[in-house]
Parts: sequence; structure tokens; C-alpha cells
Amino acid sequence: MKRFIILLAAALIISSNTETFGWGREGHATICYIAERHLTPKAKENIEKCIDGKSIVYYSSWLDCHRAEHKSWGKLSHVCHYDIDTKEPIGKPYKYIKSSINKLKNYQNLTDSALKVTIYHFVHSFGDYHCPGHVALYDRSGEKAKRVHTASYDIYLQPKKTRFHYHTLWDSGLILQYHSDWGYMDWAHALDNNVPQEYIDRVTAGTLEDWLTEVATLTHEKYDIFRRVPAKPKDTPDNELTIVDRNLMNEYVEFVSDQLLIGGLRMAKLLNEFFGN
Amino acid sequence: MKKILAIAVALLFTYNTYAWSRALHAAVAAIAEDNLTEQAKQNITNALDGKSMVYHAQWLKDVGGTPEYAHTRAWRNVAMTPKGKLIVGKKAQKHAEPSIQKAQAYDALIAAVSAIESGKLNEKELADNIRYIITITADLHCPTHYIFTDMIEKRKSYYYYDGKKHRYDLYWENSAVKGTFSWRTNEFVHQLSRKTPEQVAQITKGSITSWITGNAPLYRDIYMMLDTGTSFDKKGLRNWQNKIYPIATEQIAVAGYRLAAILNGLFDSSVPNVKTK
Repeated sequence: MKRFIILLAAALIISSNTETFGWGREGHATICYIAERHLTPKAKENIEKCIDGKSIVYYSSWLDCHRAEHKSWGKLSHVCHYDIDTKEPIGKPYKYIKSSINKLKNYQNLTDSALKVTIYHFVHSFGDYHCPGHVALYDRSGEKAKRVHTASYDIYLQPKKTRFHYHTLWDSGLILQYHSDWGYMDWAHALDNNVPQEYIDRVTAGTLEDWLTEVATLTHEKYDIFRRVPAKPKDTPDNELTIVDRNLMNEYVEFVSDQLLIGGLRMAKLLNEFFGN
Repeated sequence: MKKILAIAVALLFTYNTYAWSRALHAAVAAIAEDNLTEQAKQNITNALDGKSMVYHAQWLKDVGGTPEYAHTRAWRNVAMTPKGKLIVGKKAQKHAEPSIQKAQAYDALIAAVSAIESGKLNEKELADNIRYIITITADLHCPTHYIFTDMIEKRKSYYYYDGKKHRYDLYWENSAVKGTFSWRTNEFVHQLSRKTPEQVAQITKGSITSWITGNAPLYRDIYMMLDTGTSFDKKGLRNWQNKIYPIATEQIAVAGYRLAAILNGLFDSSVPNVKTK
């Protein structure tokens, strides 16, 4: 019974966080903290000068918290769109992060306030775009692009009997199910522990487009679960939901962990390029 | 067991149910510890049986329920006139307003600092007085621990969210930070113990009394930040919290640096004492 209460507590905390946070606070903070650990001293100093001496971790979820306050990017989707055939990134969110990256390459030309918001946007969105729940694949063969997968399926985890929104499962569900007691420092310690340079070089090779296409391709494979079952609306009773067994959950959490680490390493690479001189 | 389960569910559905108070105290103590001189840290650790200040961060509140320390229950708040003059000693004890009679935190803090300065304490008294300072200094940087005689009713302010009534004072103790960040104790240090020497000098300038009276104008404004009875929707609550969390995190940092200043003065012979008045 005690275990059931703990599981119920975790589920309710997760369900209360569904809409507000992309990766979830822990996920975003972890990616930013891993990135911070891999910044050169010069890049770290330059970035922190731009954000009033604070850590990028402080602003890792700023975009989620403050999205209602800004007309320009407040309504911008935090989900990246892709062509299902090529897995190339398309659409506004991709263009926006591309624009942020271009601005940061010449950050000296930005006003203080524009620079701050661009950093906040970059550190959040770049993290989000490594989150499987933030991949939307579109079939563009017809007249109108059609979203192939929707993350708004409800699934049902076994053996824990916990109901999850598919999107939330990736954002924070797996993180909290497996390590509800970990903060971002715990995650970084667990994932970023003497990572071989060869691994860092390999995952940070390529361009933004290469990285996003890789995330979309890998996520598409994970979405295969929904090829076997029909989409389920939110009001579907528990006994009709898709069941995800423990093996699959273990596979998923492994994927989430990889994405947190890779997202952090890639973010560091870009920030070092922008701010390292 | 059903009853326990019902309570657990009820608590989880109540917005902001984090044990912030304990977390706040631990955060302040940890930031202070991070800013102690080596000599001060060694002397304090010796006086506290080898344990960290963080371990003792909320000791005063924990023992307040025992007969031996029942008198310390009045050491939570300070009272002030509308012009920001402290109401202390007998004036407070004889005040018509019951909450002001119990607002003796200032007197207790000054007495604890003076007692340690006297050098006449035995081991138990020394440990107790260090722990008094640790807890009270943190409390005196929490806005709702201030009672303004012209704003007594403001202390009972409340708001509605999701159809439920929430107390403003508890919001500050529990959720002013946790509503935005999920930091663990060492993460508070990473985020907030990063002031420049110039900023630290500014924060710790003056006396304990001037710190407290200096906090008053901001804390009065904080009481005014909520029109009691306000009903928030999700977006409204988020926007309101966005105004509060930067203030709350700053107050935790300030409390930590000031606590370190007091303790460095008391336990490192090379550091001047912070004046009480």
C-alpha cells in the first residue's frame, strides 16, 4: 500500500506538470548543467556576463514560465516539425532556433535585453528539440501537410498501472518514474561521468540540421508503438489504453538519458563557438 | 490506510505542496557555509559536533515543540511600525496585538550574537546559539515573517487557484521558489552562491538592525503584490509567480551571505564582527 501511495504521488505530480514544462524542469536543467560543465572558462564567463552573473541553468525553463508574456515567441510551438520522408526539420520552430543561433554568432551586435532573451530561447528550445515528445512528423505529399504522429495519445504503463499522456511520458514521466529524487546535479553526475572524448566528438560532429534529423529518425522508431495500436483520445478508459511494458520503459528511459547527455554536449559545443573568444 | 491515502491524494491535488520551509532553511545555511572562511567553518563545525550547518538549518523549529525550547516559538517574526521602526523588547511583549507580542525574532537574534561574542558559553549553549542564528537569520529574509502594524490583515491574505483557497504566507514559505524551480540544496548553492565580492560587500554592509529595517520597504511591497481573494487561472498564476520568484531567490542568496558574515565575524578572529545596531 505504501508503494502504491508513492506511485500515486509520482503520477499526480507528473500529471500536474503536463502542460507547463517541456522536458520538465529537471530535464531542461540537466541539459543546461551538462552544457555548463563542458563550457570553456572564457565562454562561461562571457555568457554569465550577459545574464547578470547567473547560470544558464537558472534560465533553462524561462521560456516555459514566461511564454504568456511575449507576443513574438510566446505562441511559438516548443515542438520541432519534420518531413516524415527526409526527417529534415521544417517550419517555424526550426526557423526560430536557426535565427537564434545566427544572432548568437554575432551576439555583440544585440542589445542587452535582446541578447538575454535570445540566450533564454536557445538554451530552452535546443533542449526541447532533443526531447522525443517534441518531435512532430509531417506527411507533405498531399496538398496540405498532415501530422503523422500526435503526441496526444494516452498510454498505460505496466506494471505500475500509471496513466500517461505520451508527450508527458517523454517530457518528465520517465525521468520522475525512474529517479524522482534526483536533481539536475544528480542527473549530470550520473550521465556525464568521464564521458570519453571520442564519444563527445562523435555526437557533436555535424550541423544543427544533422542533429535534429537524427533526433527525428530515432524518435520515429520509438513512435512505432503506435503503428500497432490505434490512437486513443484523452477520455479513453484505462482498460482500453495502450500498455507499455517494463522492457519498453527501460528502453525508453535509456533513450531519454542519452538525449539529455547528447543535448547538453551539443549545446556546449555551440555556446563555446559563440562565446568562447 | 484508506484515510492516509485520502490525505495523500488531497495533498497532491493542492497546488504547491512542497516542504519549502525546510528547503529554504537548508538553502540559506548551505549558501552561508559556502561563504565561510576556513577558520570560521572549522570552529563552527567543531561546535556542532562535526555536523554541517545545513544539518542544523531548521533545528530551532524542530525543537520549538519541546518543553525545553517552548519559549523559542516566539522567535519567528519581527514587528514594525508603518515607518519601518522595529517594535522590540517589552514594547512588543505588551502590545495589544497578539501576533506582535510573539514577534521576538530580532531580540532573539541579537541576544544570540551577543551571547557568543561574550565568550562565556558552555558547549551546549554555544551550539544552541549558533543554531538560533542559523534559523532566525533565514526567517528574517522571508517577507511574511515581517508584521507591519498598519498591515496586520495583509498577513491573512489568500488567493484562489483551481477552486481552492491558498494562504499567501504559506505561499512564500512553500512555493515562492518551488513553484518555479525544483532545486536540491546543493543546487541552490550552485545557482545563488555566485555573487561578486563587490555585491557581497553591498549585501553585508551595515548592521543586523539595518539589514532588517532595510528589508522592510521591499517586504511591504510584497504584501501589496496580492489583492486578497484574487482568483487565478493557470496563466494568471504563472504570470504572478514570474514576478515573485526572482525576488524570492535573491532573498535566499542575501540571507545566506549575511548569515556567513555574522558567523565569520564570530568565529574567525581575522574578520570583524557584524555590528548588531
